[in-house]
Amino acid sequence: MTLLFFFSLLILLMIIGLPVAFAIGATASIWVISSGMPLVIIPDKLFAGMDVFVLMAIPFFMVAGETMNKAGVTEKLIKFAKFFVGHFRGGLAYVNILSSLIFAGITGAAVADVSALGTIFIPSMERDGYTRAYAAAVTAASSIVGPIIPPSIVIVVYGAITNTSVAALFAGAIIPGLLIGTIQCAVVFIQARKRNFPREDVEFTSATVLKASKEASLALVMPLIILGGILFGVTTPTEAAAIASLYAFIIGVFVYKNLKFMDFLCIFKNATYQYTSLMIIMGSASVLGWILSRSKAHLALIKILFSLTDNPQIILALVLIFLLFVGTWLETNATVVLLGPLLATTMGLIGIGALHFGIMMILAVNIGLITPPLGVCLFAASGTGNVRVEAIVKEIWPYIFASIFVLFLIAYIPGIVYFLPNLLGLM
Amino acid sequence: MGKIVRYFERVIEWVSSSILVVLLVIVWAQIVSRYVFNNSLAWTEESARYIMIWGVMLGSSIALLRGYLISIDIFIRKAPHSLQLIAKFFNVGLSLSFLGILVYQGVKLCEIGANMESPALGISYSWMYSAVPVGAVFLFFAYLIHSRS
Repeated sequence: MTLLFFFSLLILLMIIGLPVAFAIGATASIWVISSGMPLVIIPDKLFAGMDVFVLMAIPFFMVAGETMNKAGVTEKLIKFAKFFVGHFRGGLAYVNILSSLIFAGITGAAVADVSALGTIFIPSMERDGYTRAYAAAVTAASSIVGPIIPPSIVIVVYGAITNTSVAALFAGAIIPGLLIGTIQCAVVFIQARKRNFPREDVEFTSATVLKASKEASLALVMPLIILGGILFGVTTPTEAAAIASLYAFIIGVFVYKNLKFMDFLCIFKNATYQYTSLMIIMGSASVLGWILSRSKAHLALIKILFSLTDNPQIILALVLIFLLFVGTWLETNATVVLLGPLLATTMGLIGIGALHFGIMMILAVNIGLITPPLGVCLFAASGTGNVRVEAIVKEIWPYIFASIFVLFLIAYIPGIVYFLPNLLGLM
Repeated sequence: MGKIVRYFERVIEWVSSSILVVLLVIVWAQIVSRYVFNNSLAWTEESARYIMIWGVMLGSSIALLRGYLISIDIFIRKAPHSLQLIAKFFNVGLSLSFLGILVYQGVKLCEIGANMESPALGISYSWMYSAVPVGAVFLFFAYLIHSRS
């Protein structure tokens, strides 16, 4: 009962426009006051929620990704991706998805990927005969692999807040991320035949292939640094992110030679705004998380779920549908911070591990990025491509359903998630 | 008044962005000492964590002023004007109360922390804890300014 009351209060506060961090903090404070505990707990838990070393990987990944983007790595990656899939029917749509997959290994968020790839793909796909809405839809849809394939900011957030190994989560997210990319390619494959999409003229000479690979190779080293270091247990995620930033600086300043002092100013300022606004939510959510676990909220929640059905498989499906729904309204990281700890412990009661559940949760909230009415990637693609959101929505439905299919696939075949963490001994 | 606000804004913006650079340098130092000289520095991780918290508590007020703080405004924008006013009253009132608690109780936390020492650096916890009330004061004024516009 108290659980329902405080969650309704929280939702009400968010609806009337309190910043998510303050809405969570105010709800938690009212809860602390009403249960008669000392108020000094509030700043204490807020502090403790941010006092986690792995969280420092977040601003570092932001800096590294933004630096690579500003250094002009995007065009080089696209040129490289064209050699693999450009000559198929629907070539540029495949190139778009493949570029997103490669880009995902460099950046950890989706919205930045939409504008980085969209500015190039939307005009060039339109020139090739695709509608602008379709080009924007493919760009938005494929961008959701960005926060799934490591490095991923939302995975670091989930790992920190639920005490799950970030390395294991990174490893577990790779195959699901690639599956989403693959199934989206399958959608393109079907559409390409039906709508007679054009092929891309790719000039296949040893000179062009060599040049493109050489230019892209410097960018492709970055995912190797990040993943190699973390997955083989050589570096912590924070250290890997710091090395990736250094690598990006070197590439931008000495190799591509197009980063100036003003660019760095901009990169650091933007990263500061983004990570601090995320961390302040983590802090206030840690106050709420503390009181949730103290009042044994997970037991109350599982009781509510069991009153609906006693089949764990159906409970899992209900939770995933709930997450897909929340993901369309609330920002990705905020959803994970708010619901991650409670749902992960609750799912633990029906035998679903925090690693498996984490990957499902991350997929679900990222699908929310492209689901109407509020999917932010839809709006980013609309802004980048200068297309109406409604037009993009019409084209994006097959991609949403395909991605949801992957979500349920990994939900009921946990082996897909566990395969790589097991193989690498991260469990 | 406006001049003072802008001055504070720029100083805090510079300090919090510089903190991010400092964090990178500290972690690079940690990596070099551990993997190159095979000698782990004891202070790096702890100091980086505390400096980051200072960076967050200072930087979030600027993030707020620049509109980066995440909120849901779709419902409130579509609501009738009278409802918007009521919502804003509760919005500002509750947010400022929360920040007020953080300031007042944060000072108390610093008093508690004065008798505790951090494990690696050996400095008083008041230095770290004080980031909370100080940052909350800036957030308080930032939200006041932000919600007036």
